[in-house]
Amino acid sequence: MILHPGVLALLLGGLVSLLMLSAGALLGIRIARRWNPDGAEADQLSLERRAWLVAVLVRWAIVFEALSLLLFIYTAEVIHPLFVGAMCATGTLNANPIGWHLIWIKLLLFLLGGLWMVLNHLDLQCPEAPLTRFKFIALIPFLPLAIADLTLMVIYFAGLEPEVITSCCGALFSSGGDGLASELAALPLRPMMIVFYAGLAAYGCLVLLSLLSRRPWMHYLLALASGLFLVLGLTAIVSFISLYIYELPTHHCPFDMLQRSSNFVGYPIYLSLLGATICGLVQAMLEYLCRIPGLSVITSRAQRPWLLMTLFFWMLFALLTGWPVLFGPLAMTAYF
Amino acid sequence: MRYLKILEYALASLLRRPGKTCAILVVYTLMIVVLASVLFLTQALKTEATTMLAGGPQLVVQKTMAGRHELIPVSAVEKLVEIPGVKAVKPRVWGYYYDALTGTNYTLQGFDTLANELSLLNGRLPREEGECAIGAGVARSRLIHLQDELILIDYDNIGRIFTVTGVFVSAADLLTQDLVVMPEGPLRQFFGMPDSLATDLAVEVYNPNEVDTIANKIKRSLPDSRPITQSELLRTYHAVFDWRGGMMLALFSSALMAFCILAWDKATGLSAGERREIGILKAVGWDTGDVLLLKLWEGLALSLLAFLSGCLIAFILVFWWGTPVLGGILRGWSVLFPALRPTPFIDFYQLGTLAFLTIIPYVASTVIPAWRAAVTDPDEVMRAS
Amino acid sequence: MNPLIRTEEVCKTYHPRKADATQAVAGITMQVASGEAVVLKGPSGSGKTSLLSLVGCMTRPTSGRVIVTGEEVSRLPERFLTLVRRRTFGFVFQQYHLIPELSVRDNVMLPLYPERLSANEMGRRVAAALAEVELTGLARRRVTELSGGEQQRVAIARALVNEPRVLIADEPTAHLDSRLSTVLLERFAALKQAGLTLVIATHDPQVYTHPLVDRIIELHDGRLCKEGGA
Ligand SMILES: Nc1ncnc2c1ncn2[C@@H]1O[C@H](COP(=O)(O)OP(=O)(O)O)[C@@H](O)[C@H]1O
Ligand SMILES: [Mg+2]
Repeated sequence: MILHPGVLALLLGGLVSLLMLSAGALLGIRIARRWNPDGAEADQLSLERRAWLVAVLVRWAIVFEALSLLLFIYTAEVIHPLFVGAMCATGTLNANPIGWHLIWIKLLLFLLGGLWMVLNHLDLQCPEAPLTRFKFIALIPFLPLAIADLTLMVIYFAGLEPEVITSCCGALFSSGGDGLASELAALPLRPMMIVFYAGLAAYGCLVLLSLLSRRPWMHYLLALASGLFLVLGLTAIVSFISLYIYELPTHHCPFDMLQRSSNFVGYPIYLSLLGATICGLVQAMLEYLCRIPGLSVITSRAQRPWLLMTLFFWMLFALLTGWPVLFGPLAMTAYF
Repeated sequence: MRYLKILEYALASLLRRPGKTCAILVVYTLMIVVLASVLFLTQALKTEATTMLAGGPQLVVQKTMAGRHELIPVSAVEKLVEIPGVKAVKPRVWGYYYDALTGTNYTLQGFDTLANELSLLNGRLPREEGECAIGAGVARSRLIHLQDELILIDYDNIGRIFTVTGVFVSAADLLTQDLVVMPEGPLRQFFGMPDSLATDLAVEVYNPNEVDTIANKIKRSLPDSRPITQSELLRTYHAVFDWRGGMMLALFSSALMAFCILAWDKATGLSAGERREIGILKAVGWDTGDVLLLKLWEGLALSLLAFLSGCLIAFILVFWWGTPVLGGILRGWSVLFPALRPTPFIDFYQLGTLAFLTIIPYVASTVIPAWRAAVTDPDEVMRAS
Repeated sequence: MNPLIRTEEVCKTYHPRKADATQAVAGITMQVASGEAVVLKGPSGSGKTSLLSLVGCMTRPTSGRVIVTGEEVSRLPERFLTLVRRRTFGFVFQQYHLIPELSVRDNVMLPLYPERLSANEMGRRVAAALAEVELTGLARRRVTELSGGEQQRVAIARALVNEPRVLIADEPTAHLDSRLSTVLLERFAALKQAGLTLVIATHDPQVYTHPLVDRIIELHDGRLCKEGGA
């Protein structure tokens, strides 16, 4: 067990957001059960007011979770000197591999939470509130995630022993090792770059086409593409974008780019990737909700701004990942 | 625009209730000051340990006998230089000296083994017997200056007079505060240490990445030795300071709880005036969401103000005032070091951690009271009185 | 002509589940046309204030329907109800309900905060509302420094600042002497002239005998007992 201040902060944040999420979800389920727009006025009023509480609780919990993801990566970075062989966050995560699960759980919580907040916002804009029951039931999957988040965090930090000799990004993301990470790093450079930029271009075209046409399948396709885009983007970051950012032909670490030494360029990169993904997923949600009577006006009005935001994040991501490759000092031609 | 207007209203309403605002602000700030001092100081001590060790040798070899530190024979040097990868081995002579006069401990160090960055010296290094250079802490406790005389009692209970030829003004306080430096020969005479023994051996290696391997080899060729690498020492120091800081934080978490209860109480216990005000706002057309936003801004403004002032006060306490009490607890010893004056630094990670530790409990404990206030019935105002 | 406000068999029961359940409004059907001045008359406890709350979208009825500008509001979620209220109604409460720590100007500005208005537009509307009640000179005073009559004028300005279609006043003359009451009624008459619809609850003869009143609705124990012209 490591009693680092950052670890305490993370555990506290995890506990608080779990409490808030579970209070919100339980309350939400009760509201969903009793919700009845034609029922007695006094009961309905108190449910409406409790719905506000749920929204506030969930919103804060999601904000805390998002911040906790950042703090987690940073803490892993900061405590790496405690582990023999660790040179950055990757080493700390490898010291107890549960850490990797924490990252995707927190990421998933953040993505789902973002979608839920959009859903809540849409519901509040409509006088008939047709999504109320659905949105509160949609809170249920958050509970196991939040519980898993806190439990894994406790297990992770409890299992960290300073004497552990760990392998760092050098070993994990080296082309010679085995496991998913090494395979990502070992992907041949030229085909990977071609696939990535082709995917990037295709995704951009899809966004533009969705802006022009209003066909429903287009938006579903866009959401699907957003999911693929996230995977492709993360793969490309490990495979070759990191190389160009660090200007080192063998450094594949996905976390170092969040550090001052790389001018914090990782933040806009990950933010734009996640932003494009969320906005793309929202498209499908809006398209799906269009069928619900009373919501179609609101959702079709919301579609265009969300698409524009997708486009913006896409452009930002393309710019950030294209720039170092095209204009950076590192020439990888020898590795092609 | 609506957000900004409600922010403006929130700030004005905080100012309109100076008593309540101040009460919560003082407690909030106090909590942040305490937590921030612990964090800053932990970090400062870690930095200090790092600088202190950075100038030292990469690898130190001690001899152990019956599990305790022993003087090491100088002859071991030959054995060590034969190990591949070892660049140089130097025997070091140093030891502790208890000064009964001031009740403090000095570190006496042989001149030959001094690390080079100790040159931050006012005056010059001692050249012959009867001369010494001293740390600022020694100078202060003995009230002596350059060219004054320092009297120390040697192993044989004979007082010896040394002329001070230099005083250290090193930035890394811990390193030189308690130091008394003289040439190696006179120091051996002073301690009564035979020429064939040394306190420990400083090993220099060609490739710093191989320190651990070389330490293993040394252990194998000299089974009664204990090789200590610099990074290991650093890790231990960091772990110890983190542990102490973490313990302190854990202790203070009870204070945090008390604070949450207070925040809850202050926020729930809406005064009659506030209740009335929120009722009026709802009656004239503010929505539940608007009042929640108002409460959110109030909370954020309070948090930000408390956070900034708390950090500022802690910064001043730690980096200018030296926090005598906390420093003693965290360092675990308080010998000659009058006040810790670490180099000021701002670390955003630490500020983030601090914000996490303080703002999250505050926000969490005010969510429900804020919601209670926000769902006040607008109709309430219609009823008389 | 389509009435501005219409209620159909509207009921309001306070604490419906508890032992002290009180039915304050028991099935009232009435309507108010645009530009009309209507008085709700009745003894204390007859349900005037409760009916004003229902008509003014302060609260939702336990049963029955309330229709404002052609839209049914009786089932609207609270936030939309608030929106309708803020856009359509201005209230002058019996106790005025000003915030004592604030200046006249800030009190009048309160209903504008949730709206998406520019600072200029806000200033313009507040100035216009204050000019309407002739309080421009006192804009920076604290409301506690004002007399009762002046405080009521601030309350009227606050009710007008959202440029409502209907002004609702609960017992407006309860705290005024007869001279000030006359002045107030003159002001109401001027507002009516300017096109505002007035709904006033009162049991003061000076109000319901005033020529500005078009119609009197008499309540008793939450029921409508008489309705007719002034
Ligand atoms: N919030 C409330 N809770 C319980 N009873 C109420 C409430 N408001 C009003 N009442 C009751 O409803 C009845 C009508 O009150 P009200 O509408 O204020 O009449 P008026 O304004 O004509 O005096 C009264 O008997 C009163 O006691
Ligand atoms: Mg009344």
